[in-house]
This record gives sequence, C-alpha cells and structure tokens, in this order.
Amino acid sequence: MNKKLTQLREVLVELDATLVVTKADNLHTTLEKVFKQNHITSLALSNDTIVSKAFLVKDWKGSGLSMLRMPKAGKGIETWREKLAETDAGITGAVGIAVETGTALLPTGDPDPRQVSLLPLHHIMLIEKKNVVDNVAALFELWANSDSQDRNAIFVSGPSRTADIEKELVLGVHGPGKVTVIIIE
Amino acid sequence: MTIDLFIPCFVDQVFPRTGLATVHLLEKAGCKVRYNREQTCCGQPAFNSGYHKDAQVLAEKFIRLFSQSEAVVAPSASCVAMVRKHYASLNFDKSIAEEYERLKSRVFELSEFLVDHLRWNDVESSFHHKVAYHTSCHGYRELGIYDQPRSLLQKVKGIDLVEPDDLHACCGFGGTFSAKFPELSTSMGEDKIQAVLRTGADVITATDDSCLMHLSGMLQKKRIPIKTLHYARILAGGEFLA
Amino acid sequence: MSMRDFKKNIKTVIAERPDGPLPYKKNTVKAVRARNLRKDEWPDFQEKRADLSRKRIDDIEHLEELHEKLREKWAANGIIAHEAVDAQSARETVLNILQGHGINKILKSKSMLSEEIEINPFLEQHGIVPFETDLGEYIVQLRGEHPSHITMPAMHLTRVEIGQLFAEKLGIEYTEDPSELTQIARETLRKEFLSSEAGMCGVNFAVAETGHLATVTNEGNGRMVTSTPKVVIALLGWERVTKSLGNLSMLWQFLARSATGQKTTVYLNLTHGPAPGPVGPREVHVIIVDNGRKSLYADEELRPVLRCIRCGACLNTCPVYQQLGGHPYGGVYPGPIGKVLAPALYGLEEAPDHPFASSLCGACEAICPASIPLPELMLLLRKRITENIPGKASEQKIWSLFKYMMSDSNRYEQATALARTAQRFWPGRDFPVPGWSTGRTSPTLAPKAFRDLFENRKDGGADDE
Repeated sequence: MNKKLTQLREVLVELDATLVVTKADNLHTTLEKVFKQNHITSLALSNDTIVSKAFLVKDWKGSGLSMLRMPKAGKGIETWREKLAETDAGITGAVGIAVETGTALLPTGDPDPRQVSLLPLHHIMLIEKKNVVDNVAALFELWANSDSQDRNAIFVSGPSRTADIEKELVLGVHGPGKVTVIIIE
Repeated sequence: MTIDLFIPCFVDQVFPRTGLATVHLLEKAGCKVRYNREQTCCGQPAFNSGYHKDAQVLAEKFIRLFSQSEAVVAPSASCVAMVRKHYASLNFDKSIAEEYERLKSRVFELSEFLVDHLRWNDVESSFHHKVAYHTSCHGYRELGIYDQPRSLLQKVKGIDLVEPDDLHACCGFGGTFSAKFPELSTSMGEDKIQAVLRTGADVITATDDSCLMHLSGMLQKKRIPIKTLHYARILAGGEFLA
Repeated sequence: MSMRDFKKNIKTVIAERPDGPLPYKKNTVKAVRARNLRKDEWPDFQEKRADLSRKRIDDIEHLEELHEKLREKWAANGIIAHEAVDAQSARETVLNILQGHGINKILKSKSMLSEEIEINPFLEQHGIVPFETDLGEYIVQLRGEHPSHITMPAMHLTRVEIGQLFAEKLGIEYTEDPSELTQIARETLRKEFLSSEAGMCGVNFAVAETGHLATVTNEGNGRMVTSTPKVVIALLGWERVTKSLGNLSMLWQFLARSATGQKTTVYLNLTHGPAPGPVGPREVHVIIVDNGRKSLYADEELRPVLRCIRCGACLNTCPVYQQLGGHPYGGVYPGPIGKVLAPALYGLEEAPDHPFASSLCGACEAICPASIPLPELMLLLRKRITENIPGKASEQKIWSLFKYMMSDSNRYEQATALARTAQRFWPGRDFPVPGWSTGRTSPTLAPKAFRDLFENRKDGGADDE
C-alpha cells in the first residue's frame, strides 16, 4: 500500500473507522467479506454510478441480501426514512476523501445520499483511489472542479460520536456508529 | 549605557530588595544606573478599573519623566506591558503621543533587557533550592517573556528550577480583580498553590512581585512553608535574598 | 441565575460547590489539552490562524455586500429568507411558519442563537413541543436548565447526575454508563426523528458565493433535523456569514480544532435548498437574526467581537470559567466571550460586572482562532461602564484620590510615610484590606522604601560593591 493510503488508514483508525483497499476486480468479493464480517443482511444503496455499478442486480442474485435502491423521485419522505432506518447498512460513493482528516465528501447526485449514509447503523463508502487527496482544502477543490457545488452536500469524518457526558467518547449517537471506507485501486 | 530605573510603587514600598537587586544586576552588566525619585505609579490600577482619565494623568507624568532616557528598565513585566501596550489606548494630545511613540520601544522588563538587549548572562549567585517558575500572564502573553528569566535562573549554582503543571495558568492576582472578586482570586490562587505543591518546590519565583504578593499572602494564611522571591533577587543572591 | 447578579452568583457558587474535582474544570482542561495537541500538529499554525483572522475581518467588513449576495443565491436556490430585528420577531417568525403548516412539534439541533432568542419556552406557550436532539442539550432540557457551555452544554454535570436524571425523567433503570445513556437517548429521539415534520438548526456559517447553510455536528442530529422533516427552519446570526467555500473549509477546521481538538467535526452539513426526492426537506427557511448585532457592527471599537465563531475555546482556557462553570454568568454566553457579548448585546447595565470579573490574564485572546482581543475589549467596556453606569461610578472618589496622591511624588512619599507609621502600631502588622484580606495576609510596607535605600546607597550605604 502506498504512503497516502497508509496514512489514511492511521487517520481512519484514530476516528474509529475502517479502511479496506481492494482491486477493482475483487470488489465483489471484498464487499461480500465486509457484509459477512459485519452481519449485514439488508442494504440501502445510493443512486450514484460507483454504487450502481457495484450492485448490478444480476451480480447479487441469490446472495440473500435485501437491497433498497433509492429512487430519484416517487414516494414521500416519510416512507423512505422508515425503510432506511431498518436497514443494516447504507452504501454510497464519495467525491473524494482527504488523507489528513479522513474526511469524505459524499456525492451530490439525485437523490443525494444524505439519508442513506445517516439512518442505517453502518455507512460504507466506495471511493476510487484517484480521488484520495491530501487535505480538506484539496477536497474542496475537487468539489469545485466537479461542477456540483449547487447542491446539498455532506462531509463525513468517521462514525457519529459524542463526548457530552464527562467528555467520554461514545460512538453512534444519531448517525451510524460504524463507517467503512473501501478504496478501489 | 545609562539606565533609568522604573521601580513600580508597590515594589518601592513593599519589595525594595527587588529594586536593589535590579540595580545590582544592571551594574554588574556594566550599566550606569539612575533613579529619579519623582516617579510613582504607571497608572495601571486606575486604567484596569476603567478610570482612564485618572490613569492618563499618571501616564503623562511617566512619559514626561522618562522622555529623555536612553533606556528605562523595570523589574515588573505587568507595569512594562501597561506602558508599552496599554498607554496606546489613552487619549494623549499630539505632543505627548509623539513622545510616547519615541519612548515605548525603550522601556524594558529587566530580564528582557539583560538577555535580549545586553546579551548578558554572567550570573554568579548560588541558591540551593527547588524553585517553581511562575509565568506572569502579562509578561508571558503581552511581552513574550519566558525564556529570558529562565535562562538566567538556570545559571544559578545549585538551583533546581521546575515548572508547575499548569505553567501558563493565571495565579489569580489580576490587580484590583483580587480585591473586587476575592473568592475567585483566591480559588485561582489555590489551584496554583496546589500545582506548586505537586512540584515539591520550596520557593516560587516570577517576573512580578504582584503575583508573588498574592501567592505569599495565601501561603502565609495557610501556613504553607513556601517562600516567594522575585527572580532578580535569586540572580543577585546574597543579601538580596534576605 | 441572572446576568445582573453575576457578582453575587460567583460568591454563592464558590461557597456552595462541593469539594473535590469540579466537572467544569476537569472537562475544560481536557478540551484545552486536546486543542493544544492539534495546534502542535500544524507547524505553520500561527500563520494559518493569522490568515483565518484576516478572512474573518474581511467577512465582517463586507457583511452588507455578502448579505446581498446571499439574498440572490437563496432566491435562486429556493430558500425562503426572513429578517428578525430582535428576539421577539425571530420567535414570531418561527411560530408563524409552524402554525402555517399546522405543526405542533419541532426537532432542534444545537443552536446557541435559539437559546439567545429563548425559543423553547415561547413555543411551549403556544402548544408546540421543542425537542432538543443534541445529547448535551437533551440532558439540560430534561433538567430544565440552560446549557453551561457554548459547545459542551452539559459539561457541568457528572455521569451520576445524568444517570439519576434519565432514571427519573425517562422511567428507566439507573445506569451511569455514558454509552448506555447515549443509546437510551438515541432510541428515544430516533422515534421522534422518524415522525418529525419540522426541524430547526443553527447555522455556523452561511456561504455567500453559493448560498449554502453550513451546520457542523458530531452526533448527526444536525443532519437529521435538516433531512428527515419536510420543513426546516435555520437560524442565522447576522454576522455568521463568509465569502466562499474556501473560507468555510478553514473556518470549519479551526472551529473543530479549537472546540474539541478534533481535526474536523464528524459532519459538515451544507444545505443548499429544498430537495424534491425521497429525502427532505421540501421547504427551507432561514431567519437572519440581528438582535443587537448591527449596533455592534456600528460600534467600531466593539466590532471585532463579531468575528467570533463560537468555538468555546476561550471558555475552556479561562481560569475564571474553570472555577465557575457557565451558569453563574447568567444569560446565554458565558466565559470571556460572554463577558464582552453580554454587556455589548444586552446593554451595559444588564451585565455591569461581566468585564470586571477577569484577571486580564489574556489566555482567551491567545487561544481565540479569530484573534479577538478579548482583554482589550473588557478594558474598553470597563471604561464605558464606569463612565455611564451611575452605581459603577462610586469608585470615582477612590481613583481621584489615587491620582491626586500618585501625580506628585511628595504627596506619594507623605502618604506612604503615614501608612508606615500607622503600620508600626497595628497589631501583627496585618492591615485588614477590604477584599484582599479574604484568605490572604496583607503585604507589609518595608521599613524603608527603595527610594530611600537607593539614596543611602549613593552615599556609600547599603551596597556590597
């Protein structure tokens, strides 16, 4: 693994998040492993290209996983938020991730993945290696160049946390208690 | 070089030995030392209490008194900070303001003058004690004084110089604050004393007798046998320690 | 506890606080330590800080322009903007929006501005239930208290007190395990989120070039209230505006690093406008609250206080705050920033002791990411208070006398000679000095002043050379 990824791993560990690096060819197997390790049987999928590509219906037939695909439009907020809250994990892509802070910018597609990455207990991100950047400033630049700044957007650095009781760290308050970052080489 | 001393009012009256030690050190460093007894107070107590007009009268007196000085040296960081920094927010008329502009860069705290200006470090005294160094806030944050007194103290024979674990925390003195909010002031002082006790030191030193006056007042009341000494007295040694 | 009684509150709190480690001291010291570790990570920290201060100054100097730009962006992005001159009009705007939709419950993420406009009791009076969803805010709401800290609302409480509170108010079995307590809050609030119709959040920064409303959150509640309900109401302090997303990226990092010692907060939530799909909201309102900010802006001497990004670092490092926690200050903003904001926003007579209750140690200015000269502002307010508040001018006589004595060295010498004589006859030489003698012996005048010793010395007297 190169230096950047080694550093990213350290930072994510500090944030109580997990880094998985995989070859594009192995992505399917890697995902299966992640799901098995984390006892994930239901998934919510965001609507961005990298996720759609990884979760073609034909590839996961007979996997036993139940999959919830976010529609562009359609049913109301009420229905979806309840469904999402019942899934084990939400999977999204990311515009990129910053090594210094472990911060990922979630894609700003339609619908945006704000809830897929929020309501399930576990958030899994798929990120191409070329989008691993040095720091937050570089991540903002990446975003500026992506021509998608006119949207709602979320930056995520690890699992939801609080230290409101005697400054003792507790993970998973309102957002996911687990975050897995999968870098695709 | 001829130095004009500024000995703050409370040092003059309560801690004259700090003044004498200052003279001793400056002379050892080869300076000719003068003292003009027309001086009194820099005006800080009135200024910090919100009475700028009263403070201004004293500030103008200070500026006039020292306007011809080559260098003004004082053994009190807080008073020096008052002159160098806070006089600027007073409402001087043009001629005084100009004199102030010329004067302010020539007013020094003793250790910064010895170390930064004269490059003097020929300390010969000895002091066989464990000494806790307290950073006075105004010296540390407004004048950037930290290394200078410590580097000189480290040359004292036999000294074991230590730092309390809350090194840069205020001791709670704060001028008129200490009398306006005595419970707060002494609670803060209590924390500082506990930090000093954790070091095992039997002496506390600082750039300012004002902090030390507050701490020694508390130590005496609590009958804790820790002594307070301005660093100039430790550097001068001998009779200045008495 | 009220702002006007600050001085009295200090005495009460110090007299009544329990022995042993104070939670607010412990927690603030921890926070400062974490912040300092982060500071040391950036070798160019001071340059970055200076740059941030410049950015903040630039934003404040161009507030009117930035607001104009925001108006355009919001109109284009579908955000409905409202202006509120004071707390009352802000409260009414919120109420009108909610009543217009027939909504009787609102989920709130942490917002000091919502505390400032006292929205909760107002909504309750009108039959609308406000739910605080930040864990710390939830705890203080259950206790019927205000937050005691800008970023750590429940930092004055121990786990035992919180455990007892949950057992009593939520009818659960007592536990003092932070992780279990957090889970209980999560489950309780999750139900509310999933049935929510309206959410309210504070805005850390509004970004002029894009119109984004930036909300930082660690727990995710800020994300919940802005994406699960249909209607979102965002409260924006008039000065919390920045030019660009580039500025925001630095402001965000400094906010996190200064507040908790994190490199960033877990989430930075950027609301651009309503969302049409399966994710909320359908309607986004922003209420720009003035409530004294514009007059602060007009006051050039006090204007620097508008740079504040509400990180709370000045509270953490303040030796006075560490002794007291936040409640004795009264009002919403405690600590050094509160000592300036309270009299500046609410009027000198409302917080006449705030700027005086400081040793002027300068730790606040040193830690402030926006380099606000807090001690200088306290000194300025001290001056204004003594000049404008009749009760506070009572010291005038003392300082006139002080000036009279100190402006002439003969008078000074006569006065000190007199004191020296008096001291000789005072038993034990420990003069009782009002205020000072609480817990301290008084300083004694030396037998001879320096000025006399120096003269003698010239005559071949007291020196060893």
